Amino acid sequence: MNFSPKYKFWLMLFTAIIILQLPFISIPFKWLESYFHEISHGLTALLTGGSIVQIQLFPNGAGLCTTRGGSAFFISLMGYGGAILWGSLIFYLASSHRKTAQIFSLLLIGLLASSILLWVRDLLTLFIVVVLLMLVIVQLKYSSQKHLQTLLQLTGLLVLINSLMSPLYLLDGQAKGDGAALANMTFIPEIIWVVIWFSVALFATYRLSKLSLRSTR
Amino acid sequence: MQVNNSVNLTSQPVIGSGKNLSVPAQEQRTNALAREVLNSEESQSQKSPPDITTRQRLDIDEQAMALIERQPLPPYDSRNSSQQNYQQTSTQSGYDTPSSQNQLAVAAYQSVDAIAQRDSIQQIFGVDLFA
Repeated sequence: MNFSPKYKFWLMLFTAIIILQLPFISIPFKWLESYFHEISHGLTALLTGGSIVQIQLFPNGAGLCTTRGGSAFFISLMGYGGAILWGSLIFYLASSHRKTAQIFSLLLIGLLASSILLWVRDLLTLFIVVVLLMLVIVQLKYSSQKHLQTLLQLTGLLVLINSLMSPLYLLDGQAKGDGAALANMTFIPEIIWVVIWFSVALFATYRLSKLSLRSTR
Repeated sequence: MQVNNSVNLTSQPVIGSGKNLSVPAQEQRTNALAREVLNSEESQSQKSPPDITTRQRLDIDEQAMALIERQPLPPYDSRNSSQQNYQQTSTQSGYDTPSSQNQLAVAAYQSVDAIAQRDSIQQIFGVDLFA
């Protein structure tokens, strides 16, 4: 079925929104967003001079990253921020070139495998990360290069939509999570941080739609 | 520091406080019943709505305390805590659903416990936890 390239982005966005509403199919993509959220905390800790002690993922989409040292401000900020960046990066690189999409998939496999070796210390998290690893391997192995590009674009959008919605769960009246941690550090209310993350994710989606339009011309 | 010991002691004060609270609650209920008997002897129409409201509130508070005692602490996750609360609420049948005020009280209780647990872990191991 050939859709106009102009509407391809919006069709993929709509498909991603539908997939996230499906009871079982949506689960691995929620794990993927959760993984990118936690690995962003961890990588920021490494970049700011700290270390990752452990990464934990839970079947309900929750996650926990235990770090030692590093900048607490940037580590807290980059949980949601990092997930937005990962989603955008996956979509952008998948859109740029077929070969780039393939190389990026290999890098993703490397990151997931390194996480298993270095930072996963419990069976449940091991199971979840292995499922994610299989998902990327299957995408890479059993799809033609053209389909790999589309699948990666869809994966990027799924991560991006998840990271667009996730900060809104912080608005539950309980001063917990990354927003509350940032509010304690900066005295800027939690809602401001939620608005910032939500706006950045919305802006990233808008920019990707423009980019998608440009790449089809 | 007492906060550090909260991991092991969390369930004990709750059970204790639940038992302590039940005595005045029963006394108040007996008083309310006695008042009702007196009122019904004098006149049926003099039953005041605030008495009924007080009893209802006491009953709901006991349910909330029982809920706190029964429920184990789930793994903490800020991003999905609202979803989990909704799922827990939706599985309960309508007649014994606690009021939103009591749900807020339970959530506040659990959050204090989680923060205390988190603080103690961070102090003991010298690590930071990010959810």
